[in-house]
Amino acid sequence: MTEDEFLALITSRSAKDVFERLANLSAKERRAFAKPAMTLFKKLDRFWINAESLPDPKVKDGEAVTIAVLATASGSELRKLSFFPRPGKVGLVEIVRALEPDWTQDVVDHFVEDRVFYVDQFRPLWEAGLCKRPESDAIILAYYSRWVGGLAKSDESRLLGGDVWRFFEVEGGGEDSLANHDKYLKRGQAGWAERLKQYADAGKLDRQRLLDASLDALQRDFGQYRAGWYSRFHVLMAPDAGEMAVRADRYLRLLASSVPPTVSFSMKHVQVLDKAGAVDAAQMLTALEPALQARAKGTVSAALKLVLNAVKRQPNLRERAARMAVLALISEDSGVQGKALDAIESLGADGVRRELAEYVDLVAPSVRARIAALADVGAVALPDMVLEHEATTSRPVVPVGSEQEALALFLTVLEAPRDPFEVERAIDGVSRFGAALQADDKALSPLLKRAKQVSASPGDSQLRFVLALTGRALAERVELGTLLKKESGDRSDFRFVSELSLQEAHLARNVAVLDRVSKGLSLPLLALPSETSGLVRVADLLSRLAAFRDAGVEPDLQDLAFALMRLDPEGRDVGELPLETQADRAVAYVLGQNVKTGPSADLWGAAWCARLPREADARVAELFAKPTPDCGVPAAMELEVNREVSRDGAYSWIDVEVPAIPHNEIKSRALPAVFGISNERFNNATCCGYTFIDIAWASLTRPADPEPFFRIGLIHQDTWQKLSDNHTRAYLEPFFRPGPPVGPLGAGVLAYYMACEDKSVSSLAVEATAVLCNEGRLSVDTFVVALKKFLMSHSLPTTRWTKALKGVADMGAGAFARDVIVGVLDFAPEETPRDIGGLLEVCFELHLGEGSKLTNPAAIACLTSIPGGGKTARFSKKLLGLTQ
Amino acid sequence: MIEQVYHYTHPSQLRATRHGPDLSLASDQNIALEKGFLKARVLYPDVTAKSLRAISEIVGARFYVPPSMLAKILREADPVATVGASAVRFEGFSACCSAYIRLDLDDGALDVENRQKGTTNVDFGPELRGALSAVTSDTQMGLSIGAEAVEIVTDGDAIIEKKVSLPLRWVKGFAEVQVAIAGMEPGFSLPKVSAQRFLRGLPRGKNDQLVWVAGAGPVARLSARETKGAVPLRGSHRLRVLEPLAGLADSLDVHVNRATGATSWALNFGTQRLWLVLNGEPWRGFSGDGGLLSGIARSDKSGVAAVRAQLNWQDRIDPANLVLTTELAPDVVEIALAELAAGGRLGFDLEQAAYFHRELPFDISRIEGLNPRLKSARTLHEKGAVQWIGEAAEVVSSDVIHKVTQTDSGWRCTCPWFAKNGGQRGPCKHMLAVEMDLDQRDD
Repeated sequence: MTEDEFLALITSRSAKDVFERLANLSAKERRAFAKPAMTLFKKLDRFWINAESLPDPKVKDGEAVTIAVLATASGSELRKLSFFPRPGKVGLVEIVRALEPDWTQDVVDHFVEDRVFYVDQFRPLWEAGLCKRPESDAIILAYYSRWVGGLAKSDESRLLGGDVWRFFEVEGGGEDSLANHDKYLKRGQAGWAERLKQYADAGKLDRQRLLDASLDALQRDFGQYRAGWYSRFHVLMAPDAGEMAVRADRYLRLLASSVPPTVSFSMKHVQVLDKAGAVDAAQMLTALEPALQARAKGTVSAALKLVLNAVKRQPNLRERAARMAVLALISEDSGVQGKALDAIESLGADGVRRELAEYVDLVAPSVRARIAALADVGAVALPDMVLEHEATTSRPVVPVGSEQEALALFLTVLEAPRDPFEVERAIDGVSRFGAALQADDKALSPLLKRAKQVSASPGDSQLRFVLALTGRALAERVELGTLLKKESGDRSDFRFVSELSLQEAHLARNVAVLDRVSKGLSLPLLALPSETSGLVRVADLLSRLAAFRDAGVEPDLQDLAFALMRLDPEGRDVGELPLETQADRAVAYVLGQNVKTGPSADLWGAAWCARLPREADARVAELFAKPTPDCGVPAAMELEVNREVSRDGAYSWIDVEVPAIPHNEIKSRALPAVFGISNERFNNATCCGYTFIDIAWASLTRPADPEPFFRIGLIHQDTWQKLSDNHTRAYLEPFFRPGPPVGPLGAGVLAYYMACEDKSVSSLAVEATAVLCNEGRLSVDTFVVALKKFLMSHSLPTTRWTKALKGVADMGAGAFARDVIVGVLDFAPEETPRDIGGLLEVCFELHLGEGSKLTNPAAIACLTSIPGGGKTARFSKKLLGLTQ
Repeated sequence: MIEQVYHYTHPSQLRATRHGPDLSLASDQNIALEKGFLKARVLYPDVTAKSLRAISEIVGARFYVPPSMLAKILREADPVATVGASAVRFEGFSACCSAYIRLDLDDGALDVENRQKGTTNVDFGPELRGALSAVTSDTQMGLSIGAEAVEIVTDGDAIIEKKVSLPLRWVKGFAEVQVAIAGMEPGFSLPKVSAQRFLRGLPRGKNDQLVWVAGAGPVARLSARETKGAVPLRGSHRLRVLEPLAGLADSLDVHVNRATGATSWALNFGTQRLWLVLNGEPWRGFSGDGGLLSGIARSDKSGVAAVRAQLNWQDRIDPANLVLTTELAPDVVEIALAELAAGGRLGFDLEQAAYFHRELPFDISRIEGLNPRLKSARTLHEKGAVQWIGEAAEVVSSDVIHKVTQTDSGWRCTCPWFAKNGGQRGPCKHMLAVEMDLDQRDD
């Protein structure tokens, strides 16, 4: 057979015909056609999977080609495929039996190891004796991947013949594990745990071996989720006292497990053994060491009890037991620390004074004096907990000094524009050195290549796309407007960035910058912040405008709008100003002069935002078709927090809104002053963007008045979302810059964000709160008002604020955290938030730590009437004890 | 990829003997020895056992799994043991190359009966890991590395053969991490209890956020922003392996490489130390850092052979001494040491602030020529792509002209690689090409 004849055969005949013809050829003869068969198969595959064009020649029956591949390919060629080509019209057993390929075992081993579902595909082969069953983990995973109720008889005999013991060695992963199998059963279905117990009860499996094997598995450091199945199985098997006693050392050993539920599982068994006196006291004491340092309070408390029990049974262990009890002081919980000290006191502290002294600085204030006395150390010097942050005093933003520096900076921000100050410096660099760079033939070649690449795939960041387009225009020596026109196919409705995004204003600004560059002009960016507060100093703006005037160039209105909104509230008394152009008038207006307004609504909206004091101005308002918030009419924005409940009452969620009055109804697309204050559905949070980069840049829009920015931050947050790079962290950026005192919406952001599920967000909010408090920019009253709205909405667990405020205290703002908690204690008994006990405990510890009394009458009245028992009642009482 | 085939005559075991448990680590039989590498009694068995367990945990960990890679790759890579004149070291690398762990056992940690200097892979199966958790402080534990230490009769059939395809970057990471360590400075130190508190306070789940850790009195504080004297930490979940050991340590000593962001977290147990070295970002392997490239790129290799001849499994290599014995200039010795570290022949011990000799038991002869950045730089250099315009160099690469200029903080380049990484990951290929060009001119 020639190659052409072979191809004609496999493309024109049915799978069955091809199989019969090829089966009559020797392996050597078939092997000669491996290449054309595989080439055609891959073409067909691309057609099926990637919808590429039909292969030429056309194929009558695709499975005929599959059979041709199986008949001709070598084992290594088949292994290179991402899947095993299996025809449906001719059985695999029939194919292998007829062709007797030399790859069977090799290929079966490979694909079974690769994916579990191949076990079912190849099972007929080893059942027919055509290969050996692979003994890899995949065979066991195959049991996990199918419902146990569907287990075939033949499988059951293999299972009971030995496979079952590998269940305790093969952990599984992803979807295939015993834990997963038994978790997702339908109602009425029995899982593997029940099935194995049934086998044991029926005498088909050795019960003792099952008990041992489950403990073996728990010793194997399986992941917590998957280890849980083995402890549940062991409990299901319900070992009796005798069975437990012979395994006492196994349970003790498991106390050292790195899996907390396994530790509590073994702790329960050890408690039973201890009660029955079936465990050696000294051995138990040694084994308890890790449990005494566990994170779970219950585990530590139980371990402390066992320590005391060990001494009761063997009094000579007293000193060793006291040393062990000291280990429990590592717990962060003051209650556990107290219990540890109780135990140490009862065992005698004489032999452990040195060890106790190591913990004095690290325990809760309520037990500090006690431990200091036991350790026999003097007055406790509290550690200095205040973090020394990089100074938040303003530092100057230094413009780039040369064309090389301008290019280097632009290339850097094109890769990573996370720092908005660097982005602005880069655009300023283009504005001032772009023309010089364009004069150098070679300098821009790296930018040309890279900007093209980035604009083709900019990722999610709109800012990066804007920068890439700007870079391309610079490197291609074209006006940005021309480039945009070309890129949009001359469609006026084409949008490069999202509707109402501030990046649209940014893009428009850069169009003007590149327009100047193309004319060979070298002028500064008006909006470049003068300092790291984000503010533009008045003197700087005036000197930049003078440069424009000297060059005979009208300033770009978008750039000027940004500059005005960044204008420093200080240093505005500058005397008479020129009033020749609209830009001149807008600047004079912002600086308090009475000038003619208009005609550009975009510019005058920004100018109104920048003018102080902010008072309604009908002349600016009438530039807009309808009353528009913060455009001649002050926007009133108030935080509203509600708990929403699904119709069936099964789910609830937090609803945070900040309606702005008046309602914004304008459709302007590039009006930064409005700052996304839109009441149109879906548009609430779009103006700042959806990546850290975009939001961080937006944070520089109104540095002297960031409340509208924080409004977006409140609307934008999804408190349950956990992300690897949570973009909403950027809403906290202004808190780490020099800035004005935190307003109501800023405080709302802090209160809300510190309760986020995502630790990266909550920890940053905690830190911001501590920093602002230490700088005197956040008042207790402002924060309490915001926090109460969230707390009293009962829409998020109180424990989140408990942890957060403890964190704030740990960062050196203890008095603030204490006063905030006292401040929120002003509600009717029926409104008491759930789980407030933890918050009261923190409040109590902080009072002790600061050595202060509770004097707030509202808080005292609230604590007196607060309902509930447990921790809430205990710490209410303790706090009330601090009133005198 | 390097096809690494481990041959073990038996699995490593923690066997019960009449003298107590004996940790018998099977060494790779690719290296023939008359006797085993080591036979000793462990003086602090709970610490050593837990530390070895931590090594095994890191070696089996993948803190970052690129979507295109299967997690099963490298799961059988085994730690490396080095027996030196006065120290025994076990070292391993996470599969993702972002975390390196090493246990240094001084003579005070072992009662050595027999030792033979050298390096080998040791078998570390999951069963052994479980068994190590049972070792307590009052256990009498022996330690042996080698084949004959196991009393079970072994025959040809019993040999365990593990074939592992080790990506070059994984093996390169072993070499590159030593340079990152050598460039470290002290960060802060925490006493035992504070170290425990700090490690317990770290987020439980996977956490890739950059945080800053600063020693503040007796405690360490985490901050999301840079604070004075703080060391950067990203991927703090990688530190969890130290948590069970912190209670046994005297202190936790932290070092930082400010240039690359790599940090070292060492639990100091007095006579033994467990080092966990983390790269600046969990998704970045040490292998790609390129800290050695400038040294390797230089043409002057004259010192390598002479310095190598003096290594002799020393636990502390003194460059000044090498200058005397080899009669080479100090900078030539320095380059030679960097070259040897790049070849996997030296490790760096921060405790002694000195290199130590060990030969990685991999076929590393291919690695040196396969560094992609170095290779590209050589191609550029050989093509004559470097042109000098005054003080700056222009490097023509793929129709783009990159400008390489010397600044106060080193070379700068206009390529995207430099724009993205700055000086954090060594020089870019254009800088290397320029360095080669300068080197050639000097010759």
